[in-house]
Amino acid sequence: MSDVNFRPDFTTKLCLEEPAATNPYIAERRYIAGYNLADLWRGRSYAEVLLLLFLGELPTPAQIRFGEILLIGLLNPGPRHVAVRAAMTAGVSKTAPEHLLPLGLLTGSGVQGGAKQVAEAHQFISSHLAEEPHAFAERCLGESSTTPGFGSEFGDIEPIWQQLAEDLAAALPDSPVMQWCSAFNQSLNRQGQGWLLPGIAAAGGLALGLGARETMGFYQVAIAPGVAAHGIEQSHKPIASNPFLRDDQYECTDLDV
Amino acid sequence: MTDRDKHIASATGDPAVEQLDRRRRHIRTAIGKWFGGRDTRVRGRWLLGDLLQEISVTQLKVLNITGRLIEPQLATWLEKTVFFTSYPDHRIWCNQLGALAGNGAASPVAAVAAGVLAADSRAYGSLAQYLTVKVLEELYRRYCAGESFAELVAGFPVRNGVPSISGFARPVKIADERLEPMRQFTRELGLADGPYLSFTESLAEHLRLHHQADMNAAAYACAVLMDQGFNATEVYRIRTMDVASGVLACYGDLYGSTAQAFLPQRCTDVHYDGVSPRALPPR
Repeated sequence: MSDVNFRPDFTTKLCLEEPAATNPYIAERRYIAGYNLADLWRGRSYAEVLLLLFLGELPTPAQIRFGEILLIGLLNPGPRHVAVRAAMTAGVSKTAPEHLLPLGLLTGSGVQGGAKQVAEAHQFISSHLAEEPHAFAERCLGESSTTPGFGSEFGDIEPIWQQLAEDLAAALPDSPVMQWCSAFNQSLNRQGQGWLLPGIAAAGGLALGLGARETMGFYQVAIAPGVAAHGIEQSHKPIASNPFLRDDQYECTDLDV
Repeated sequence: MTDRDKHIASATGDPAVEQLDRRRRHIRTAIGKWFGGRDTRVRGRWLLGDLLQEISVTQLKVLNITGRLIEPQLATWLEKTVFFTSYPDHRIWCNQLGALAGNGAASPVAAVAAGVLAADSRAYGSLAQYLTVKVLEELYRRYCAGESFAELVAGFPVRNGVPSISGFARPVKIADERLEPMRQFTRELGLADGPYLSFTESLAEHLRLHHQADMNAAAYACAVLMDQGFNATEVYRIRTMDVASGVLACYGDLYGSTAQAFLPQRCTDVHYDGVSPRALPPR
């Protein structure tokens, strides 16, 4: 590895730290995309600064409203969501509480309903935006092809996500991404399919102008409050307050015992 | 139809819900089961009654992961290959996380979890080996279909002067010191004969002769495992924890040291190339 030309330092466009005159390790001021963090906490909302961090520029009023809806919509995906459920399971089993959020996010990182599916859905949507959405949806249904971010859950579509997507589309009515996704979803609905949570996150990120990886990270940030809060809540409960299946509920098929 | 199934069927007329209800509060599996106070089934065997006396922890690990009870020689080979994937060197990326976790007095489990995750990387670690197996599977298939080595290599982009093939992107002037020892103990354990390994060695020879590139130890190890019948998914799972001991070495080295003892960074050590400081506009 010694022959590889490694740079001596990290580089970033996101954050500048100005050192104190007396100690080069202490930051006198910190800037996010050029804006003094102190000015931001005095005059801007959390959603606005979060969007600034990911976008690199201050969001427009419409983007702020859109981002707030998205962040609230994803804030707590519910106790049955894979990431939340993982944190709850660990919380009640007395796992060290500082691990609950990261282990929840890890468990919910997969390509089937998790963070990786957000990135896949982002790619799916962005690579088909040029196609007429209704015809494309019919083709997907006809060929039974995969539609990352769209489909059915427990054999059905969840009304909450359909409502969230509608409100998001209304907040950015001129967004070609939201228009395309809404039309695509409408056609899928006829076959009992529609928006899934990762699809909404992906469309939201894409509509805001984020890349696939940035959208995945934004999604993880967005669901983190629900994961953390549910996990911590369970950590206060006795271990027997969580179901542990009885032997007769657990079939081992390699022998009859 | 069992009584349980009859009950489910009568509860709702929706087949999808009925299907889900069969798995609700019910697990059906062949991987095993803990029988409290008695023993544990592992892939059709008793853990305490059979396996404890007979197999090593590596054999047990592979049995749990794949359902296959491997021979002791292969288990020994797997253990030896971990010597090549986990070093007590703070510079390796996953180990840096271990050191940072140690310096911050995080739990050792957090350090290993972070380090193992870091090594789930396209550049090195478990994911890189998964990708290497996938590449080898595809290249070998095309080779068997009649394509030459030149044709196989032609489709890959060139980065840093060498074809970017997972497992083979090592410049020939930087020899992988692990290869010869690995070849030697692989031969000694009787595991060096197989079509994937033979193909891999030949491909590496072609790369050395024509592209100033060579394979690394991971490509060799992946080929051996492929000859032993493991696929990419199984290799990924078997290799998941391989970096753990190096991470823990670095963790322990920093644990208990003064705060910010590990590679302290001045503010200017992170180079900023973004927008210059600017005034926040009024709303």
